[in-house]
Amino acid sequence: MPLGEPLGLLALLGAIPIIVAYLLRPRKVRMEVPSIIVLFEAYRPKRFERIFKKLVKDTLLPLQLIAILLFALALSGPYIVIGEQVSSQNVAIVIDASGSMMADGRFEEALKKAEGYLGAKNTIVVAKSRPMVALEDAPPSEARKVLSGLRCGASSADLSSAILLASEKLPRGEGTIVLISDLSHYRGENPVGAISMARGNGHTVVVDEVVGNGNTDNVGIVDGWIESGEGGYIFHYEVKSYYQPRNVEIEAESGGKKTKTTLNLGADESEFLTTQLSAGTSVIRLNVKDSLSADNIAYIYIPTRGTREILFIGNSTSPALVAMDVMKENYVKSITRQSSIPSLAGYDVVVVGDEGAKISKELGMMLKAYVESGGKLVVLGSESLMSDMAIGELLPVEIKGTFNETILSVVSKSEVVDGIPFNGISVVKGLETMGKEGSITLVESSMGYPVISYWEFGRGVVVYVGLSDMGGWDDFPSKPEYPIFWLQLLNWLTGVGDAQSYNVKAGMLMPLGSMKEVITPSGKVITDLLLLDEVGIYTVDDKTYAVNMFDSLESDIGFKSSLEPGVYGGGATYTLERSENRMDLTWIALAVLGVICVGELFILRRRGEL
Amino acid sequence: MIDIDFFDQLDRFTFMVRKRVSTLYKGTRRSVRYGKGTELVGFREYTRGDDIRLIDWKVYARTDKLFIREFEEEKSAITHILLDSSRSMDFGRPYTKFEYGAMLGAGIAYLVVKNSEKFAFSTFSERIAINPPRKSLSSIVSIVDELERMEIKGKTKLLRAIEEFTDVLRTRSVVVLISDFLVKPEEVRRALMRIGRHEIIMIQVLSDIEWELDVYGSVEFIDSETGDKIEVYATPSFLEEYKRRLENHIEETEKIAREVGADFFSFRTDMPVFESMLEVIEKSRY
Repeated sequence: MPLGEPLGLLALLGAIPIIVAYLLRPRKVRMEVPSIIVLFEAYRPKRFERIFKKLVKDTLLPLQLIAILLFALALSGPYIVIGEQVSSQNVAIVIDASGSMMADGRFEEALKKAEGYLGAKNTIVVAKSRPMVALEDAPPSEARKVLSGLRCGASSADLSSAILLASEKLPRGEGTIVLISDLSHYRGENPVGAISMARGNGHTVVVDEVVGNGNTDNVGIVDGWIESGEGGYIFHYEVKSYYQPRNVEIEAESGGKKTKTTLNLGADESEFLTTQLSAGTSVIRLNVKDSLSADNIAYIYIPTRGTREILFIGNSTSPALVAMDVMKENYVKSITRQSSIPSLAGYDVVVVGDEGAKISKELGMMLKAYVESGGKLVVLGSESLMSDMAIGELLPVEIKGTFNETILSVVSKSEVVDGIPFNGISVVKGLETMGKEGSITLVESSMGYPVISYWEFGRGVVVYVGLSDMGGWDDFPSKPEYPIFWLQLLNWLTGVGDAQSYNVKAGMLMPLGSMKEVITPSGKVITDLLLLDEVGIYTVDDKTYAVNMFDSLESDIGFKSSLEPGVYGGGATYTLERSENRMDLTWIALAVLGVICVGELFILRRRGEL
Repeated sequence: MIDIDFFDQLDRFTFMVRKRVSTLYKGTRRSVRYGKGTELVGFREYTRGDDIRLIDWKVYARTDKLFIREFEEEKSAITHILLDSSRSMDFGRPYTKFEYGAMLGAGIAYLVVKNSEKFAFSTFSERIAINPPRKSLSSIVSIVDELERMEIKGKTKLLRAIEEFTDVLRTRSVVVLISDFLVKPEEVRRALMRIGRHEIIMIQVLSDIEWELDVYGSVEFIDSETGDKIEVYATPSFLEEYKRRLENHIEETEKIAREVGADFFSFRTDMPVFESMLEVIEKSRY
């Protein structure tokens, strides 16, 4: 407990004469009497008194000592801090939450330093692969709570974007940005540029370095990729030792089998290894003790494959049908709209192609029921969609008309469109569309019309592929990537894709389309935009993803960037004026002292000495 | 404890007492047993088995019926003096309770002998040491001698002692019970009920220590008989309460005595012993 006048504690010396008097007091008299029977009747202590007497021989002594203590305490002016007033301006704290900050106690040091910078109003920006505002314009007490809940990610941090974001949150012309970082590797632009811009906005920027315990030794798995072949899948990975030679024991577990290897690495030396993978989750572990543990483990996930049941409703000469049919994992049934439509239940995906005519009301209702119950529907572009009432409700876009000529571009990263050069597709015609609320556009035209988009409808998914099926609007079907697009789309829809797509590097941002429950390596979250930044296994919508650090720069925890610690703008040093709101406890001490004194008087009276 | 001087004083005391009362028991105790004796109290018709020597022939001559004479048998009651010799009796000034009680007992025995009656002087603590009845002054001296040499020890087991005593007691007697009676009142009641058919005189002897606890502050009292301890902080209010409790204890013992028809006396060891003895003689029913 803090004291306003510590010298008041000198009053404790008053306990000395009391203790001396107690020690010098006459000892207990022992007296033999004929019988204690009458004495016992005269003094029959209650049970509580008997127990109390065993503990405290003389009640007055401890009471008097407590009284002296309370008196001394009252003189010392005790108080508690019930709040803080900081006279400084607004503060935006940018905390580096990259992978290297997990090493050696650096992040804990950063959080502690951050508390020391808290001002009257506080904004906290967490610098990860994407900067995030964790708190805006809040008092120190709230800021402390948020700080205590922060954690690092296993990816590098975009410090420059984080500083710029912090600068946006502060009022122009005032405020301080505090960057707390190990000043190791970063991603994106050089933070110096962002600092200059922040200064230009009138903010002072403080760069504070954290060093942890100064240990830089590290060995980790810095890269890894999956190769598929006739015999199955093989995982290639690189192990590197930084600054020191090491003997590394490597344990690989896959399909219930474990293997061990020992590696001898020189300082700053790396080696490439391989291991066979079975379907499911495999783990490679480096059994070492070093400063950064996040890169000592690699998770690999190989999805299990099965045959897909696909129903194609469209023209039998559709290039989409051809592309799907060639895949050995697909069993494709092709029908036209005039056919008797079978029950759609049991099909993994239903693809509706261009037959040059609207969909019947009956088919529309079947498709709606199918999607609502969890089915996956792909609708290919055609002019008949423009006024198709039966299927219009299901589409993730509103169709307004047609356009001529455009260049396509990918607007959202997705395994569906990954690796497909959409900008190389020649498009002479397309449908003017507007994305409905809740839809996600993967590819759009130069005018911003969604060309490939999807959304969730009921419990299912509807994908709109606005590229022509039969209309000859574009040359996509002639591209070698066309069947790859269909493979990726179907893999994505059915949860089975290229093995590598289920194994990502930490720092990837995955839009989910709607709020979903995600099982992360550390628990559960509900989000619609998932940042995969923890090393481990994520599960969303029955899809599993393995996330690893695999960053040789971030694993080099001894590396120092060119960014220097210091104060940018303002004076050479940075000081924060703060004052405490105190609650004086003197009156409480005096009140308890009063009670003790009354208690002593009561005891003396009970004894008959008063 | 008891010396020649005491017996000289006792002689003078006895003489003085005789002037005031005829005898300790106001005459000899009349036995209700009928049989041979010197005093004719009546006649009754002869029945088969009666002693033919008791047939009054003069009555037969007058009435032609056989009658036998009935005589009152004169029998003196024995005075049993029971003196508590437990450890608690070894306290007091100028005499211990035991010494004081012994003097009282010896004095009573002396008066009994002077009255041509018998006494039996027994001591008890956990058990009773019963002595046979005696009738001579010399036996008092030897008893005093024994009491002088006796070790005062043991716990007070009043009820047990009385139970053992009643096993040997055949005829109705006078029982003089001398003790501090610092036992639970219920034990006193049960003990007195065992000898309720006898004439009982209870003499309680307490020492100055019991009345005047001269202590203050933290005190540990130790029971002389049981070794039990009680720790108290002795303050004036505590001492007042103790005195009140002691008086209550005595009152309750007296009440129990009255319930069984016993005479009860309570003396302090710093009271002159002859004054106490006089009070016993004057105020007892005998």
